[in-house]
Amino acid sequence: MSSDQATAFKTDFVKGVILTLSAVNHDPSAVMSVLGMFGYSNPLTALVVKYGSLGLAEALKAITAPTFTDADVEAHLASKGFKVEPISLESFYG
Amino acid sequence: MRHSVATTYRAIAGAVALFFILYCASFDQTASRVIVAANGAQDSAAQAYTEAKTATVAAGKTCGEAGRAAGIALPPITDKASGAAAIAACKALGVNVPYNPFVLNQLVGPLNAAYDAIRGLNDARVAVKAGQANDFYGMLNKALGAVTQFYAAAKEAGLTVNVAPLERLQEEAKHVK
Repeated sequence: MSSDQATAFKTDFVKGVILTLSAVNHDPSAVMSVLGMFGYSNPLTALVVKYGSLGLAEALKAITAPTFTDADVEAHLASKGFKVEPISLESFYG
Repeated sequence: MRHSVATTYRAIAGAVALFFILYCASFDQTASRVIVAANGAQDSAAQAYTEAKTATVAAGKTCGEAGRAAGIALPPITDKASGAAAIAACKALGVNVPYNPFVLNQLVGPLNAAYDAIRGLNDARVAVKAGQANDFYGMLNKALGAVTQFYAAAKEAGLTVNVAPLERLQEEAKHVK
């Protein structure tokens, strides 16, 4: 792949990502943009049309929700949650 | 024609990469949220258990003092029925034991199992992220099962537990693909 082709690929890909993310966000104009850019017979278009309002919406929701880094999760696990000890039944009455 | 084929291949490659990115981001973020929610539920439940235990142990000691002062032998606690008998005996001495200590102790197992399972689940998440095969979903079910089991046992024990963290956990877990 030449440098120009690689650049074209990256440009197409980035556009595809942006348009797809917009499309799955239930924006009819973005869906039309995807159709216009890639054509009706394009696999990406077909996937957007087929799954745009289904599985990808969940993925988009996951991506756009508050994100956790590994450090966030580790910090949460370190600061919350603990093990407990049972009551000593033998010395219950003191 | 060549341009069209090249465009199609680029689009396919882009679509595959896009789905891979979406899947990975979705999986890791959702798994992280499930782990944080599960840990929050375990923390909430452990605090509820600790408060119940503190109150019950304090009442048991007060009951013992009252029994010794009155010269009454209190029943040893070896099972659920004898725990209930102890509550009744203490009540007769004017001491309210808020929870059956034997039943309360049965919450310890699932509560500690949930603690371990949640941390094991996070290890599995990190391993998946690093491309290492593991039984993430098996561990997810184990963690969910332990937390859910605790809530069920707490309900049976009459322990008041805030179920909001459990509901949040169940909701988050639905989104793990």
